[in-house]
Amino acid sequence: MSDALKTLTPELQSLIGAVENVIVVCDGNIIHQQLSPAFDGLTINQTLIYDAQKFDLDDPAVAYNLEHTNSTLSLIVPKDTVLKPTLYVFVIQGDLDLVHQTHVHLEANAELSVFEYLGNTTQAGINILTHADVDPYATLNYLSLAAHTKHAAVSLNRFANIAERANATYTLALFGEALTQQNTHHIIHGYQGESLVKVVAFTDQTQEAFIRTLVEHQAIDSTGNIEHYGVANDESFLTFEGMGKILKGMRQSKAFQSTKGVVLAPKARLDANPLLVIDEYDVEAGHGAAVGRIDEEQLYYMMSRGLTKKEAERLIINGFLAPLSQLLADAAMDDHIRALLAAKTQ
Amino acid sequence: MATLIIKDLYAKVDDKEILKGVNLTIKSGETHAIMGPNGTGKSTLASVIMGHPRYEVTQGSITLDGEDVLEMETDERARAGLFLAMQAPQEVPGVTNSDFLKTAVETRLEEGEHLALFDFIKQYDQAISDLKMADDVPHRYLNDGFSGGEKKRNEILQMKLLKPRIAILDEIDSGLDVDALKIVGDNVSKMQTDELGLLMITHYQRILEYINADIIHVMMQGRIVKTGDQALMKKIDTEGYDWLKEELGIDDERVIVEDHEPVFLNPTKKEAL
Repeated sequence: MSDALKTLTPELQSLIGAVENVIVVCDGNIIHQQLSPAFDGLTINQTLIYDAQKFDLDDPAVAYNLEHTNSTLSLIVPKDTVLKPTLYVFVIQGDLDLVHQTHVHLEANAELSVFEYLGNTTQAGINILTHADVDPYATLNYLSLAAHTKHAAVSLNRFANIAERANATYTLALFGEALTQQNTHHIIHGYQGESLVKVVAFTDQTQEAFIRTLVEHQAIDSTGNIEHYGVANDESFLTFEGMGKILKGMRQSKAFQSTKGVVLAPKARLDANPLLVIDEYDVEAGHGAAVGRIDEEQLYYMMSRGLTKKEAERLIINGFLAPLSQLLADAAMDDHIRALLAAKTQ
Repeated sequence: MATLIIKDLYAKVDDKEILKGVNLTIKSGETHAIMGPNGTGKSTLASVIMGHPRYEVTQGSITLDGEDVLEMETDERARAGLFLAMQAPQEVPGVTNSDFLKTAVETRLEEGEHLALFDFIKQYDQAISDLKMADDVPHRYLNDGFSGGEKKRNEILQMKLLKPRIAILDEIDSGLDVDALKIVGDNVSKMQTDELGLLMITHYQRILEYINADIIHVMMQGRIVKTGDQALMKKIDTEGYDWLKEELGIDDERVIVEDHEPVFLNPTKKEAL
């Protein structure tokens, strides 16, 4: 293991050690890189080429990021290249306030699966912007686990441009302790482009998290799905805002979203604001939200078999987060995720 | 040996008193049956013994081998050896039957002791085949989408693996067809040993053709009004409860009265329709 890795926490070191095909970026430097020959086609550098006009510059967090970037990573998958194993990208805050950008470009008909791990080692402000261009017929599977400690204040902005018949699936888990704001903005600009954004968040103690997901249909016959899953414990406050937006003329587009939430404690709060903005008649769209406390009758039933209240709650929550755990069916991360969740149900 | 003693038990729900002085003692090796018409407090008694949060005990005591059951949480009662097969088992989507049952078995292990997973799976599979349930039950969500009969079998399946000392079966026969009734009856009969005290709660004597009960109680107006043997059961089977009400001078046997008036029978509402 390189010396630079030894500056990280033992927990991070063991996580990094447990996975194959990994890039570790700490405070702007690539401190570790281990990739199998399967990734030979992947271009990795720290030069960013993008059109800033694509971003929402009115958002102060985005504007701040573009002005103060001190950490970057660019991944380019060439045309027709299918990268099969998952690529792990660790973006770690070391000593600095971290202002990071990840740019992912999948050229036509390329395929990539990324698992992004976000963590911090000291008290810091963290601002991360991820940007993906998914060219025609390309498939991007983007998994992320944010596991920041409560010493961090975190702003996450995620953009994706989805071209004709391209597909971007984002599964974003927020299981850290930090004050967190996440904006995800997918633009489907190509015919039959598809976007799926799943966000799973679990807040506890006095944590606050604000999660906004916007899928914008700028193309005919485009499909956008937003799924929000949340658990709020203790005195935490979790907000989901989802918006499916279909522009005029983008007929036969489909915009769906659902929010499922569980509130575990009397002082915890979980808000869900699903929105649909549709300027076209020939579309399919819908939203649903189910937020509530764990059913007392279910708890009683499970306790009547000998499970403590905590054990019963944990089983119900694990079940609730099942849509995520299937995607994160990753032996290396599984124990870590379970530990993060267990800490939140103590 | 286990002994469950219920003494002069009063309980209410939403400020309405349902149990009004129940006395009952159940010992290992005995099988009791509580019969009685609807609304007389039978299921309430089962829920109070298990500690359902909606019910409040206002007077009396329940002890298991001298330990105060009313002081225990529901899960502590279960681990102490009580089991209630519920009339309407809950559906819990997202939690598989096997995860649930495995966790329930684990709660009964001593500190430092680990579940022998292979033995557990073997016992589980055996119980599934004994109850003639589908092979995929372990991987399905807890009671989720189960038919009424499947839910009842799943209760008995859990009982087989959890091996309680005192078990209460609350209307285990409702929702079962004749074949299922026989399967459930056979499985429960096999568990009737000197180690188990059993309490059956039922409207009808139908289930008692499959599971032998030594002691028959009749509940009315929130307490046990008559206790007897098989002869009492047979008399109820042929003559109903009217003779008993007459004998005891009971006019209305119920403590729970449904006050939902059918809409169509109300002339003013009918006109409004």
